[in-house]
Amino acid sequence: MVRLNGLVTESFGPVSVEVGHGETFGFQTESEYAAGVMMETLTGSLRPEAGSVEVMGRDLYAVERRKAMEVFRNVGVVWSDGGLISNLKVWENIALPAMYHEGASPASIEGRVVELLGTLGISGSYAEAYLSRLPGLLPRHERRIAGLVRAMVTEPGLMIYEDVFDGLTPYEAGRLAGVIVEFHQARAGRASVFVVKDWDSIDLLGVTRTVELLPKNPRR
Amino acid sequence: MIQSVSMMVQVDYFERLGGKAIRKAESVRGIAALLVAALRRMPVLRRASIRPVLYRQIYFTGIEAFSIIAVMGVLIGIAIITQVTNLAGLNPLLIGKILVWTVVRELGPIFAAIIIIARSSSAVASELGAMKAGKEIDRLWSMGIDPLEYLIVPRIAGSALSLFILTFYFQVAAVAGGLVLSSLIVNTPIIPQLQGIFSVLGLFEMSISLVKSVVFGIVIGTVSCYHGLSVKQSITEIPQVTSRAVLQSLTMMFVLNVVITVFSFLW
Repeated sequence: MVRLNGLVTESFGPVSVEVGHGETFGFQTESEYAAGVMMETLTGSLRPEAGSVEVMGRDLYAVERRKAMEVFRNVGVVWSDGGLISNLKVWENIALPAMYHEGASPASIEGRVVELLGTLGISGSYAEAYLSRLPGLLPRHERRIAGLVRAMVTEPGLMIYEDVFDGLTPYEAGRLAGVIVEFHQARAGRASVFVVKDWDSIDLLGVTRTVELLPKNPRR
Repeated sequence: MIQSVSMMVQVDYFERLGGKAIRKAESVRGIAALLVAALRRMPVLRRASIRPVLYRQIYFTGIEAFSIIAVMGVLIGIAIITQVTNLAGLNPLLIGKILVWTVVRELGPIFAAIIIIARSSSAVASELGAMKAGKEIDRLWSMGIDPLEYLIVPRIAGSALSLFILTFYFQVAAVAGGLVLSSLIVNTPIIPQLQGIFSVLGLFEMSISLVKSVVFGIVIGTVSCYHGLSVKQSITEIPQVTSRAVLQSLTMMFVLNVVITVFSFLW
């Protein structure tokens, strides 16, 4: 599902890794910046200095970006800050990929969205207000929840997460981990890739394999 | 020593001039490439997920400008009728003809375009610039959504449709409002003026005016989007790209107006 071959970026490298169907895999980095570089590289936004990045069998940097990003119809990406579009309300952000790729109507996904938000502690009248807000008015972890629900609604075969527990209390982190693990197990063959700063997150998610992203030029 | 300093200053001046010309040529080429790519993707406007973006653009660019367009149209109509009456005396047929020649052929598309440039060109450029600086364009890609289809095509189409509608609205306001108010202020009879108008107002006149409006709308939309997307990383670039979008939209609008006018009415 994900194959990195001799990947070298401005922050780390070289990395060679293959993530197969059904796996939970963790990239552990030294810094938030390195985590961001890895996420940008994995999602086709930052060309590596060397090596290749294959997602769902497509080399992201060997073809035109439009062709490369077609595979992301079946990939859910959860950014640490949510990755929302600032001029769309939360509901419009959540529904965007499903409506764009699948032609889904708002009514057809509303139930699933409400259910997912409920498991993440957002329900009732607060959920109504939450869905009608612009992302700029929300705290970081609530934007991240919107990004998570947006990715999950399309039921992708591959999920990529960036530092999902950053800034959460242990209780919130535990609840979120439970939702993520349950989602991973809900579809056979679904792979989950986590880019994190700390090892505690890896344990909470039950990650089976990890790789530490070492700096390119470590301080001696 | 003084000669070599003077030569250095001259070389530096020409280098800067040449550099500016190259940058201008590159931006025109980039705008043309963006326009061609967007025109090829126009069929995506049929998709249900993209139509709300188009409707939103038409609302902000077109519908919200109705009142100011109407007011400007009426004021222009009154000014033209007043000037013609002052220069040529009370000649209703001539007034009608001059209203058509000025408002329909030239001022309608130009004024509507200027309103859209003032209101929307800067807004589109700054909105896209902020999205680029905030990495939202990359976030769209990471959802498998092509920003050209989702952001650019609806903005260009919305700009063209809005300008088409606003041009027609301006012309109606200028002619009708000008006729009615001038009959009250300057005491010119309405019926002979209408006869003058319909004696020169044909399908050709209207078509050229509306072709201009669509072309202007497409170019304004494309130029605004191009400059908005040219932001690299910093939000401090946004005011710069916004003013570039406005100035280049104005320049290209006037150049295209002359080209279309010459080709339509002289050849």
